[in-house]
Amino acid sequence: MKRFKFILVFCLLCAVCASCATPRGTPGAPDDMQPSQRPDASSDEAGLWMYMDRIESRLKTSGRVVTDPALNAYVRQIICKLDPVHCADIRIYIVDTPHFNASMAPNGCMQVWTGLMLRAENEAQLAYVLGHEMAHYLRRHTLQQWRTVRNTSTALAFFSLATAAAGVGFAGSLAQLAALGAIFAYSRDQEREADEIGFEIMAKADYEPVQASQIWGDLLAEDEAGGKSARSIFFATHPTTTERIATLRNLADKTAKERSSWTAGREAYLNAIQPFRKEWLHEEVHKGNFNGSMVLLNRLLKDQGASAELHFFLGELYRLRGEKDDCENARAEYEKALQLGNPPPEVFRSLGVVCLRMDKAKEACDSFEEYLKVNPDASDRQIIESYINRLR
Amino acid sequence: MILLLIVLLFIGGCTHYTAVPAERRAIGSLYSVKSNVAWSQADEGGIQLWTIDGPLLEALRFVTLSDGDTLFQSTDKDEKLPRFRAHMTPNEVVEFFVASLKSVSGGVDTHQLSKGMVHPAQIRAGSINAASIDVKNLRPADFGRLPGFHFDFSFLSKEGLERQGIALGSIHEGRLLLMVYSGTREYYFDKHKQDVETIFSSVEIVK
Repeated sequence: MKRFKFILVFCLLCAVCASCATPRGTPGAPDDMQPSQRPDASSDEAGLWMYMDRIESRLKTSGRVVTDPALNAYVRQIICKLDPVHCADIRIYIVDTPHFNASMAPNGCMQVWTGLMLRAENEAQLAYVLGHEMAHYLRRHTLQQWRTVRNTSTALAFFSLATAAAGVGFAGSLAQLAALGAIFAYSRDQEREADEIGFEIMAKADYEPVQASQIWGDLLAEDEAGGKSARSIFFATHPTTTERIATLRNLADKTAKERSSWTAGREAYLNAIQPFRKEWLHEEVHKGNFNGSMVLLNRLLKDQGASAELHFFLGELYRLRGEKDDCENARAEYEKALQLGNPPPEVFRSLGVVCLRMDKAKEACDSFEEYLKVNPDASDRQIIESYINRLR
Repeated sequence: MILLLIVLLFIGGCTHYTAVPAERRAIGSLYSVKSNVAWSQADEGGIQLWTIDGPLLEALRFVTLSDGDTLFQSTDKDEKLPRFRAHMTPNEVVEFFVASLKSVSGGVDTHQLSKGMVHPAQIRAGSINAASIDVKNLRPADFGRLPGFHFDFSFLSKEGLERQGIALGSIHEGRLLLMVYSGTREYYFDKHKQDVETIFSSVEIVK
């Protein structure tokens, strides 16, 4: 009971108002995290670590963690390139969810969500976000926040969230992960500092500086298209402003002149995510943020060129949205996917469904038949055959 | 501490169960089913839930949705949860079902969440957050005298438990009638699967 009370009180204290981060180098701020460092058992920081260790143990058994060795090794080598000294202290969890997010707990538990990996256009962009999160860890921002708010009444405003995150209400869910992000939301000053440090370690590792402002700008555009309810979890906890994007762009302009060539790591990155991209795109179009996803898919088309897969998923977006003219729009995208060649087999099924909705029985029947032809072992074969029989 | 107790009482809730005898029973006003064994029944946000060993172990849910309805209820009117549409094919109903199970916050507004304005009970009630959802064997099946569809599914619950399920549905007069049974892959799904299949085959449409 005593331990539980401690955790509860601790959670209350952890709840963050986040407005008074200690600027870099300010007297009184905790020292930067040292390699292999663990907090003294009697310190307030040890409580913070204990809390995060509990959460991490749940994360380990979550069905959403991507365990693929190659993908995990790829992300790890980026971390080690960014910060070889602290690399061994970081535990990476790639979490399968179609939202842009990454987070770094004070105990070295880093989460990288697949929605971020789908959105990054190259290794440099992912490296910048990871570097930004590393900066929160290195500067011990969470500890700073706790020490700032522990004597304020604002901590109580987060009571419900802190209690929930402690596992009273639920365990291991994405809502919990999001709640954790909210608890450890950072202040704008801390964000600026993380921008600065993230940028420094990214550039030091030879990654192209301009990619830092690029990924923030792309995400902001997507967020604005999606509206309030689709606001990214990452932005909710990492208030990103146009001013910060402009600052990063200025930094990039200055730094870019320091050497003649930089690494974007585009080919290596696209190769690393290729085996997962179809599944990530599937999750993206089904998450219900049609406008935001539309911006993303059109950006990927522009960046990566026309591909049957991207046109298929654009078609899926229209089909799922189902507004006026969306059947025609979906059909047009499926046709483009077919023209480009080697489309996902599901394109024929989706085309059949859209034609069915448009009362084009013959085309629907032909598409369903083609679906079964290219996908003879389809698990839904019997229901597709029933559509065909009804349409004939 | 008092505040904690109040919160715990609130979270614990008072789900009220009533006995469902082994006899024919109306599901809403549209159809009835007959069970050969007794179940316990509770109301789960408008959905009729039957269980024998407890809903965390196994549960049979009777869902009836109209055009535009969501499978789960949202606390935020702006939340973009998947919606059932009357024109859906069985494949699209399955898509809708899977997308609903995957809903990230399950009805919790992430904007409110970031401000600590969401009660833990809301999160618990709303979050499904199933992972690794796999649907197989979507096939035609009779829903009483109506043409319908049947599918098998499995997923990992938010607690990381492997769950397995079967569902029988039909779209009738623009409404989705769906019976969904799921239980832990370990022991409980199989324990009552036969009873559920008996219920599936006992459907009688009222009108």
